[in-house]
Amino acid sequence: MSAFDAAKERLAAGDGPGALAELRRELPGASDYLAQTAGARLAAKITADEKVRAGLTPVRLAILGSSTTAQLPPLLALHGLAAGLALEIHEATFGSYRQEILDPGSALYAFKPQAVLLYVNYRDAEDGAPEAEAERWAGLWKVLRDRAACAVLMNGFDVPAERPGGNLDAGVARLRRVNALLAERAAGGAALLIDCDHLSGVVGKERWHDARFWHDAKQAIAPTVLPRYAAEAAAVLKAAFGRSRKCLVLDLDNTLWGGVVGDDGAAALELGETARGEAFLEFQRYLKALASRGVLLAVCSKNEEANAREPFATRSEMILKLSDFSAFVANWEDKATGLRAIAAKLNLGLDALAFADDTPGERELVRRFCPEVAVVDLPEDPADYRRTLDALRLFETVSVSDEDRGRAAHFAAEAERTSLRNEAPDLASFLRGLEMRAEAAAFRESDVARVTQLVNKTNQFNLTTRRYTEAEVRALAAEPSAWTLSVRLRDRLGDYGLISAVIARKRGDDFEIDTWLMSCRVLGRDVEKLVYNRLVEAARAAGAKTLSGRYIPTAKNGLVKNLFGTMGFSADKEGVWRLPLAKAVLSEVAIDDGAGKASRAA
Amino acid sequence: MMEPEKLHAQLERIFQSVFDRQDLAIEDALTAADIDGWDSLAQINLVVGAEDAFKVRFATAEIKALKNVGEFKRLIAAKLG
Repeated sequence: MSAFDAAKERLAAGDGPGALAELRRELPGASDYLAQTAGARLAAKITADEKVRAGLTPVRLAILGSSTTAQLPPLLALHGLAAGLALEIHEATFGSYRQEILDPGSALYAFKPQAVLLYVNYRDAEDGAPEAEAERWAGLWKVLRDRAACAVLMNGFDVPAERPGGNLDAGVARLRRVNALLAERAAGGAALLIDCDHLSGVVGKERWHDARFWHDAKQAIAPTVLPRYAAEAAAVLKAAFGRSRKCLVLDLDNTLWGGVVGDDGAAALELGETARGEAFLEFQRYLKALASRGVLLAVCSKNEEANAREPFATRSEMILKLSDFSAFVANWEDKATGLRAIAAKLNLGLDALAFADDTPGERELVRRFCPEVAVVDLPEDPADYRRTLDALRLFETVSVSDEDRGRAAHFAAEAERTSLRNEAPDLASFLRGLEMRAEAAAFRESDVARVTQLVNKTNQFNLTTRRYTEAEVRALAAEPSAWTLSVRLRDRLGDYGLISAVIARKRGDDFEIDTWLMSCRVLGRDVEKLVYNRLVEAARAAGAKTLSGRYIPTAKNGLVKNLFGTMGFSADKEGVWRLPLAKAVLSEVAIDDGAGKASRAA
Repeated sequence: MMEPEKLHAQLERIFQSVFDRQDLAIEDALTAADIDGWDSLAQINLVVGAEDAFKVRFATAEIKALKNVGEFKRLIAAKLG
């Protein structure tokens, strides 16, 4: 399976816009050169018209190379899509960059470029004083700007791996000095430098330049790392054309801290102390640095608002403070609705937002309903969060101004939450598309440990918050008058494991719910409806006439206050919710529970 | 040591990817002259693809010398020992 199969299928079906949407999903960093080259061929089949209609910014880019550039244009065009750019690329004859720049009648100027990329490498740095060398390049930039009024991009010099002078190598010192002088001259808009010395260090200088391909075909950057260079160049281009993301929207639980605040409580969250807790703090430090240079931060979390805010007030380890966030959305609505509210509040388009969440299902929903938002696939291990986010180059800027640094404060000052009542996306069809499968059965011996853990830890979706020991759970499972149900859920994105547990008993004509709880990770997935259907069926099979349950309020379970009400139960004076089984109607459920009924109705 | 059939099939997938032809069937006698687009750029793509797939490394002189499928297979098999 290649990384671009979905785009290929769409193209084969004649669906250009669909293929474009697939290609624009943030490119998998791990996919290799050949896969990306294949993806680039697909990108070339999408018309310029389709790209513009999809909201991409058309840019005419000229590449002036001192080495072979043949593989670069398609890869750059591919990465341009994810960066919001429809690149039309002119490739100058290899090695002729000086003539192209200096000759007013050259093909370069006939192309009328909006951006020029000087694709040079360390071998192009001439001997002599570093100041004179920097001046020489700055002179070329000026000619380009004067004649073509274009943005000028240039590769900073990639200091090579080999150093005849060892740690005292004069060539290394000189290239570093030239790079620093180029950066000084570029500041203020004269040019945009692509820091190839940094990038080659990140990928490893021994991989960056492969001498075999240099001797064979004058390839300055090895093909295997060219996709990484293309991503970096596309990031700088997108900054030049105003397509960088401006706001990063963050989940809270297991994104900013370890654990689930609503269930574990603020005091128990992993922040520092453990190695994993340290990783969350390190991620927060990175985010704080983003904020301090003008990237807006926002929260979009499924939580009670008071719970979501509590760690910011009570956990002194938190690096990020509430004042670092320009918008704070914590409720039980779907996140697509939350992101639209955040965009509206900050007066930004959805295409200015990026979204980071540890839960694959949430990311998939956002991709589906807000395709303009850049979705960050946070990896399993929080220690890798920083690097994953950084490698996507979402927030590149052409300069950092004082105004950027003050922007977050500006938004925070006018902050007050707006209510989130935008139109709901078609959730039913989204849920069906997740291909959810549930296994719902009476407690088995192998379930006892996990059920006990859920019973003692679940605070939010828990109607009675009754706690039982492992021995008690085991006894319940064996008790003839007790009815138990454990639910496991998986979908095409992953396996959620055992996420819901129910205990009920028949008493006379009544089927009474003793315990009903569910992990909030699967909220909004129809699991509660599936449980309801199973309860109604079980009660009927037991010959009961009514199904009943209680809601016992705690500080944390406000979420399920009205659960019975929304399912057609009525409350009596004692607070017992009852449903006459003769009137009970089964719910439509988007989960295949093994009975072969992907959606069942009464 | 890799089975010759497995090596052949894996190399065929690389050729299919490089030349964007899912129906391409390779045979030992196939040369650069037989395939449209087998130029110096495609040659590099084949080398990079084979190095990645088989975890081998071709020497500078070998890169140019690989003129047909049979040589590709012999060299890869020799490197895999």
